[in-house]
Amino acid sequence: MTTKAGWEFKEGTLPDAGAFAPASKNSGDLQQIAGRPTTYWSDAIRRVRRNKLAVIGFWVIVALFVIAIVGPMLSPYTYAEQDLTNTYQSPTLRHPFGTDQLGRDQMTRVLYGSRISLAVGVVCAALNFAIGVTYGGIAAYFGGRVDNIMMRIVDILYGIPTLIIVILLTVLFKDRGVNPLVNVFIAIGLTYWLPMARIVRGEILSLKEREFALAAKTIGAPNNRILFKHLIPNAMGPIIVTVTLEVPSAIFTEAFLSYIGLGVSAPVASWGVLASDGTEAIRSFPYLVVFPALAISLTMFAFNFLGDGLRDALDPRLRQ
Amino acid sequence: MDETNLLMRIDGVTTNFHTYAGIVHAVDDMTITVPKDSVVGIVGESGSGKSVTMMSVMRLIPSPPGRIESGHVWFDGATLNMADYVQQEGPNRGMVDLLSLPPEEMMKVRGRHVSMIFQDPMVSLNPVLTIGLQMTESMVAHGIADNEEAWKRAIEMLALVSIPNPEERMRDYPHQYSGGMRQRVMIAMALSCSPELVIADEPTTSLDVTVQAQILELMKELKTKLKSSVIIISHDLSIVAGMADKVVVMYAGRVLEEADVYDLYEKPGHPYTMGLMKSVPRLDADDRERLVPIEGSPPDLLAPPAGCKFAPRCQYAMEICCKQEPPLITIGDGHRARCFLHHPAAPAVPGFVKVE
Amino acid sequence: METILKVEHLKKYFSVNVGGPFARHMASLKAVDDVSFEVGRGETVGLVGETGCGKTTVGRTIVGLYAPTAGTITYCDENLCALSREAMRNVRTKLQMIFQDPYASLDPRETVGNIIEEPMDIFSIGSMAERRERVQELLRIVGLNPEHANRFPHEFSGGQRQRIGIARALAMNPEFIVADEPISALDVSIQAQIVNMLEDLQQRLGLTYLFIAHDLAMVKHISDRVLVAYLGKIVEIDESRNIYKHPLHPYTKALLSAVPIPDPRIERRRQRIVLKGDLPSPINPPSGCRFRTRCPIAQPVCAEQEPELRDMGSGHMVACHFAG
Repeated sequence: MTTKAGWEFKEGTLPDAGAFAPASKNSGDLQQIAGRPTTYWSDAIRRVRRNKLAVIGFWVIVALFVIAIVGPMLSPYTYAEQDLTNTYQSPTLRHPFGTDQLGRDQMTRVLYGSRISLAVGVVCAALNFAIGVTYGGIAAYFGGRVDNIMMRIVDILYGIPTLIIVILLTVLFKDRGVNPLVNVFIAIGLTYWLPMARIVRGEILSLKEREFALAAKTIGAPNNRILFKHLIPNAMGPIIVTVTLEVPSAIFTEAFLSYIGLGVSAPVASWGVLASDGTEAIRSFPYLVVFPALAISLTMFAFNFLGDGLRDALDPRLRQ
Repeated sequence: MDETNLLMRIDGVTTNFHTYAGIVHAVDDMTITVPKDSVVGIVGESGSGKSVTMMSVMRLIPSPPGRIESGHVWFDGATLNMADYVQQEGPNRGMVDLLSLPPEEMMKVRGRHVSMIFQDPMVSLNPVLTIGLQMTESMVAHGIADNEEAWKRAIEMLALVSIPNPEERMRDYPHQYSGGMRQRVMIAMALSCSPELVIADEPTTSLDVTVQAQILELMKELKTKLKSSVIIISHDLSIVAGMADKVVVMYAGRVLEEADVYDLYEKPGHPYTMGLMKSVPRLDADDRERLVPIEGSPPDLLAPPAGCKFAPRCQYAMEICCKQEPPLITIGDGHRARCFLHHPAAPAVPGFVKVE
Repeated sequence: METILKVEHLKKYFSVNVGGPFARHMASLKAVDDVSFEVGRGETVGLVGETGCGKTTVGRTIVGLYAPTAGTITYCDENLCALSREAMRNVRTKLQMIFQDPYASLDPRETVGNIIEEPMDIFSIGSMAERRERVQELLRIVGLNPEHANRFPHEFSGGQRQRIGIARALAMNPEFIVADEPISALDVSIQAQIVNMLEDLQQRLGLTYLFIAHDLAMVKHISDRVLVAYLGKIVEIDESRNIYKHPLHPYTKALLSAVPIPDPRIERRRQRIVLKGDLPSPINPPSGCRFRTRCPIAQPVCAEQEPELRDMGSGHMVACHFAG
């Protein structure tokens, strides 16, 4: 052969004779896997953490929970304590958010209101999981007629506006000593799991045709095991995203219902009630409406930012 | 290689993907030459960088995360009609670097001078537009023909790829075509502007064997009729065997071997090429011989091995292979291989010629 | 040879809506239409055909993922179609399946150890420690590092995942394995590893395989006998070493000539039988012989009369009026 091959070696030196000895090999190395163990969640958390707004949203929500739990305890006032000598006080050091028409400390009332709002959020999330996920999962997994009947029920419930349910309940339970908050819970309970059921159904419909679900069947796994152990955990991404976007909407609904007088009523302080009371004196004492309104917006923003961040992090189509 | 006969030279192209987990070295210092009126086969497994190389040529790498870090794609300037960008001197005189063209100039190259046939004809056609509209689109956009002419030419192209009743089928939508027919339409579209180069990226992988045979026969037939060069990308050595003049074997973003098609199959010069040939059963084999697999898995491109990328799976690996990557050396006429076994100091292995 | 599996006149129709999105008009898609064959113990039978030939449906019906529309599947003298749910669950442990897509067939949220352990968990076999021990053993059998039992599927390469799928199928000591395109999603350099392992496991554990694939060269390599399917029917059955040299059915001939051979000299000389047209719809298959619309030797009789599988001697069966 006359062609010049073109060997080049590092640092321009020829390698020593030992370099061409067979390499020592460990046959076990061939099936090694690279990298540290990673799980779906650690991966997702890393992606969420790169989204600053989502991180802020997450910490705001944590802060809200802490404030809702300990805030009212630390306050020297209670939400119903009246002080008729100190009505309509502007914000001061003693009353940072001022006082209302009955001299109640507005900050204590806003803090207390966060308990109601977050309770509504928690109930909504719990119902989403308990009813929505199971319902949608069962409809999709068994399919056919089961699916048809179950989803038509969802369609019917979808057709009834939340407002009508609450008005009906208010009329029904009026003067029977039922806590009006329960009305709100029932109204939210009846309507807020519906989108979740639809989303879970869609997810499970596609997941159940995947080979791992078929594989579970061939090894003899019973239906409930396949549904709850294999299919639903794999739909967790969209489920969590839906919850974080449903919760603020439920909180908002409660505030709205209370604002128009269909939710909780005096002296209980929900953000909606506070905003409603404050509106009456908005021209002279705007701070009475500003603080509850700020609380509502802050919560909305926090949940929505977190929800968007989670969707970007958990949606497989957006992943790289 | 005869310089005047050169259509395209991919010269030292390096493409990386910057992901949150680190940098994926998808293509590293890639050099491939494509002569005029020839068929070049590129063979490699998933992750070998064969598609990324071609997407780099077309400048279709999604960015971010992808980035063409360095290199040139020299294309014959005589056909491009872009006098401003033709190199006036140096080794690449008369060539145009596709990678340094402004985006609007590159758009004139895509589809007109270099076109692509993709693996999945289902997703490469727009489902809401008729075949006729999609076929005429690029001809009209490149100003080759007005609407009426383009329509006539599209019918001719469909007839050329053996679509029955082409006049009527022009008004059909992609879902009214079968998988094999869609791939024919893709081929007709790719050829409609008579490009100098057609890149076929796994054109038959998603098709059945008998349909694959139809498409391969069609491509061979068209090759003799039309004057385009073809780059055919495949994971299967047997697909390129029937068509290619020259074959390039890729692994982990590198060229491991490059040779004339007959040389490659008769005297492969790299253990990976040899391994690939021994690991697939042959339909015409008489006895049921046990296959000889290549052990292990392709490397993780986030953390590729330090030396030769194939060394961890190579049965002949030497100490030097784990420390240093071998250069792509010439072992015969137009035959290059990236392996230290060709070094005079290496132990003798049957089938490996020694070159100084 | 003892017959382990006997499929007789198996039919599987799926009902599909052909009326479009706004009309409801159900038709039956004849995925498998009157298929009969036998598999002997310790044998590897290859089932080969293209998209829409019903090969996957046959495999899935055998392991009980689909209920047959008609016909019987007899496994070790037990009619699987007549078994109660509970009895079927127990028989199923002997009949396992390896899936095509190693990326989709493993639950991404479970560790590899849990995936392999699951069948033992479902049937409450052994204590936790014994099951863990068995998982380690299975991982070693399929050539993986037992220390990786607590890793997740996405950390493994395609070939390694397919090994995990095989370990799961082996967990209950099955006798019969349906391998549905087990290598077609793998890289070329990995396919031989898996095929060799399947051959070794067969030797060691006395397994019987139904190997479903579209790659005729690989089916010919691994199988003792080959079944060729077209549009829900079996058109030819023969020993694998014979079928390449003496194919009788025109479809088998076309299929064989379509497979590319990795040798440029042979490849450039070959005369291909290129089939005309496309696969007819399985909703409305052609009358008589289903292959007649694309067959190079079709005669008027093919449209009128459906050819039966005829024995051409020493187990070579073919369904064609003009074969032989």
